[in-house]
Amino acid sequence: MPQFRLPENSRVQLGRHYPSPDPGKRICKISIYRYEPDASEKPRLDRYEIELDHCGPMVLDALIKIKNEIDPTLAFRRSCREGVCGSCAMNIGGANTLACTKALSELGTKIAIYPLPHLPVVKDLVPDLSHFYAQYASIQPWLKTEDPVEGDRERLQSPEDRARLDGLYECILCACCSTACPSYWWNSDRYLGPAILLQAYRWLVDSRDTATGERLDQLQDPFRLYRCHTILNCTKTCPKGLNPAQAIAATKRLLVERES
Amino acid sequence: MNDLRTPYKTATGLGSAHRGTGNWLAQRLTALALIPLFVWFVGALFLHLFAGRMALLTWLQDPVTAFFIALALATAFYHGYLGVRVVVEDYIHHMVVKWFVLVLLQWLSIVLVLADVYVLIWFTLRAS
Repeated sequence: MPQFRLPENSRVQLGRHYPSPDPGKRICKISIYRYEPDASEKPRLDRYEIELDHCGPMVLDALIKIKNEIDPTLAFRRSCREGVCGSCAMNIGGANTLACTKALSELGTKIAIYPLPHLPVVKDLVPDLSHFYAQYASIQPWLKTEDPVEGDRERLQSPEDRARLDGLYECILCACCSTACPSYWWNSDRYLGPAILLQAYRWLVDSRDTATGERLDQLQDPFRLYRCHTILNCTKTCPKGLNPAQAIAATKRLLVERES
Repeated sequence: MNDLRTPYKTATGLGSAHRGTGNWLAQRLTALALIPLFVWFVGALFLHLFAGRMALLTWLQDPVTAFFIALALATAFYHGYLGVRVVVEDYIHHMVVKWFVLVLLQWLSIVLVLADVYVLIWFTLRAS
């Protein structure tokens, strides 16, 4: 039977309200998704009011302020606070991005924060990325070559070949793009998603890697690669300004080149 | 994981099918082919419609016209089949239902192409 309503434990209720002690100040109202799968409660949207004059400029600063000063039970991942580790990826104001590089000033005075879409929730804003990481491992993201190393030194690459990795090596695997992709929502069990396909392409175009054919063999699949329907949500949402859709199109071009 | 399988086992699944490029390419090539074929068909149809009923019938009964109409329709049906196949694969996850719909779709496309060719041959022969 088709299911037209969200499952019982996916229907978000209105949660607690934490008003600002001083409503006269510059206030930002932040609604945050709260859920603990082990508890019997349904997910809820808690509303916090914070004073912007006593808060750092980024969304992550607001989350840390809430956790430190208002509600220590709030769970979220964070680490580098400079857009390098990808830990604080979440859905902010309707778009997947990094809390540490998203400025509060860009979002107005009402902000809704949810975990990355369509992933199992561990707690609050912490999604379960096990399957995403396993998919990454499945593309064998390391240099594979039969060429012997000359002496005890690095494998050389021309500046032109190195430049082909630009726009690819910067990916921090935050999963913003994959979890913004409707095709990944419906078929993530088999479709690799934009982040993993961008990483796969990074090894396909590496001039030092000699496993290109083997890598293409692994990608040539109606689901692993060809579930990409060029929706472009991935490119639109990437907080690092990368273009996974272009990498996927280039992979498809390589496969056509191999066939003809 | 309730079934004690590792995420890596789930991610690698049944492995790669080593196909998909052909269908992907065919979808794009048929889309490109349909642009001139349909511009020609619609344009020529309107021109002959304005020239009167007899001119339209004569044009339709010409074997060259019939060939190109058959080609346009066959290309359109094949393109449509590939497109709907993608939608079915996207949204139907029950294996038996999916294969039933895919086989049905394949047969329907073949029957439509054959019917289109049959009607055009019948129409052209009837005129001669």
